[in-house]
Amino acid sequence: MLRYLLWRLLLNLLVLLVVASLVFLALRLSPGEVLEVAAQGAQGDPQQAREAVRRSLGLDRPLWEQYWDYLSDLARGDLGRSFRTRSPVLEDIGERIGPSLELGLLQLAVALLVGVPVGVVAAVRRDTWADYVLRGAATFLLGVPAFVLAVFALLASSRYLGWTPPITAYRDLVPFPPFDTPAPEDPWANLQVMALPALIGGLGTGAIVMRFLRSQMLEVLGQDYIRTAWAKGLAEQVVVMRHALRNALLPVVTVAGLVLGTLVAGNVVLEAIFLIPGLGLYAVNGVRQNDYPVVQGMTLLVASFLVFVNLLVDVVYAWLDPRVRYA
Amino acid sequence: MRALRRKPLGALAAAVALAMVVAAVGPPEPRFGLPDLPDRPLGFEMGRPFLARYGPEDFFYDEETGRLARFQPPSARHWLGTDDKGRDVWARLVWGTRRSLFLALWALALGTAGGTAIGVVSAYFLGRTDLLLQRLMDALQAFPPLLVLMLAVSLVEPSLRVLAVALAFVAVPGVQRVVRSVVLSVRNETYVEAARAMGASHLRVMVRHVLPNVMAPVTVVFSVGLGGAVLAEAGLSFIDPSTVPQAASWGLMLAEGRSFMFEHPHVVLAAGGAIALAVMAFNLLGDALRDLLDPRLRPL
Repeated sequence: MLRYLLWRLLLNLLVLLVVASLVFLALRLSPGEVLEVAAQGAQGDPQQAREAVRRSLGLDRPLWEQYWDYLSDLARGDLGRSFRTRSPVLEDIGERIGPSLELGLLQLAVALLVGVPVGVVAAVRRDTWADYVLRGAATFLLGVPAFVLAVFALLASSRYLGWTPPITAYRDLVPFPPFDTPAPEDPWANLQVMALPALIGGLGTGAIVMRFLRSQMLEVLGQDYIRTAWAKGLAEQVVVMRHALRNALLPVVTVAGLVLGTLVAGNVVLEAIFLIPGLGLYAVNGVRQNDYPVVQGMTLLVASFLVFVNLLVDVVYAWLDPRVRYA
Repeated sequence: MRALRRKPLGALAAAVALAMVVAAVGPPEPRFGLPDLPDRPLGFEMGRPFLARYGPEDFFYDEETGRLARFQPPSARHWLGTDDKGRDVWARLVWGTRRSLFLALWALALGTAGGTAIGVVSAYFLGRTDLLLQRLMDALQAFPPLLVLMLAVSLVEPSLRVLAVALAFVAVPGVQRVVRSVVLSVRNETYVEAARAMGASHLRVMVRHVLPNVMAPVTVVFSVGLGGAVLAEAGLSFIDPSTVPQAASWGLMLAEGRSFMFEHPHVVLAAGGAIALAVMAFNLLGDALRDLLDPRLRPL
């Protein structure tokens, strides 16, 4: 087991190296114009200004030299500085992980609070109208994209409830303002900002949880020990909640773990629509402004998260399920 | 027919998908060339879609006032009304269907071809080949899809061709994982061994004996993937409307419509409805196909 773990860790580092190299190359070999934005503010000859910017960012040096510097910085845990703001990417990420984490956790809470009971009911009342309605709703939520749902929710809440989430006027919203609105400190105001995106994202994730839990529950409910439990004359509630749900929940927990990863770092759409200054918005702005270090740093962050959660899931599986063995 | 009665939802989804195809095609014109999006998806040019009465950028004037016909309500002339620039919303929706549908089809064609090849090779040879290919796939999967798309259009060029390739790139890891798991379960079957014993080459065994087994799951993945591709294109056009290729697109309509949605919600309703309907139809179609073709596969 330990050998297997070490081997996997080594492989993960290799994967991360490949990811880092791919992003690095993709960014530098592309013909896209990087320096326009940076050089626009400068005075005098635009050609000269561009050259100056390129020199100051170190982009005039040979590619392998840049690559080597990049990798050795990485080895020291330095993700470089943003081209645009000149602030260290790692610090930026540290600042923005808070709102993203909050939104991700709220979404997960909504997903579990809705998905688990609904999944249980749909499985226990299998092939009744309740099952059909709940499954239909889940299919609907899986089909309607979050950004469509978000636009409709904003429209409905302001039109019919007379309530718009307090950030900016949505009507003349440029998708990405050059500034980043800070998350409000006041908990009540904060919740008002987070409520709609958490609900929208959470319901979508809840649909995944519900479908997964339902099929797990159906499998578990057909097992011999459940029949034994029924035969002992236990109440339905005890059989379902204590005997069946406990076993059916195990795989759901791992799904939830994986989902949390994408929720924290990949909430691009919801963060962009509701102007939440988290990691998703940070990454999108980095891409739009061709801010190489930001794009590299965010990609690596998402990649490491994914790779290590995958490893963790495999290990947890082996630990929870004695039938799984790694050699 | 029996399938139709057994899977009413699937049949409904198939009908929606068919309607999308009908909305996307137009009269073929004898101008040939390499396939290009959106107007020459199959190697020949297509004219205005049969269902659209106007071009995507045609704008109209009010007959009485002579001014630009902005935000007109639905009428016989403009079935879904007009938008902020006096353009026909229904026509833009139909032109957008062509863009979404053919982009998704091309992306999935490339993506499933690549993913199937990688999955078959990886599971057939196992060992070091498998290890290497799977780590590479892990690396590819580590890129957030939306960022890949944004990078592709901002770094290479904002064209639909680039977008199709980027979408295919995003689809490959998922496809190959499904294919690999199926091949893993058939690679030790006696008929594979028999074919090898008779002297068939690895390539022949893979193509003739292993590949037919993955066709059912690949069909399912293809269908669900179409929904994902439509969603991704719309999402990208919505998030980053200034950098994607400019033409009638559902995502662009949603993004543009957002600026006046409180006064005139019909544009966002139409565009959002189209996106949701298409994605849901492809998902349901995939579910139905899964049940019909391969009952062993469970949902999700």
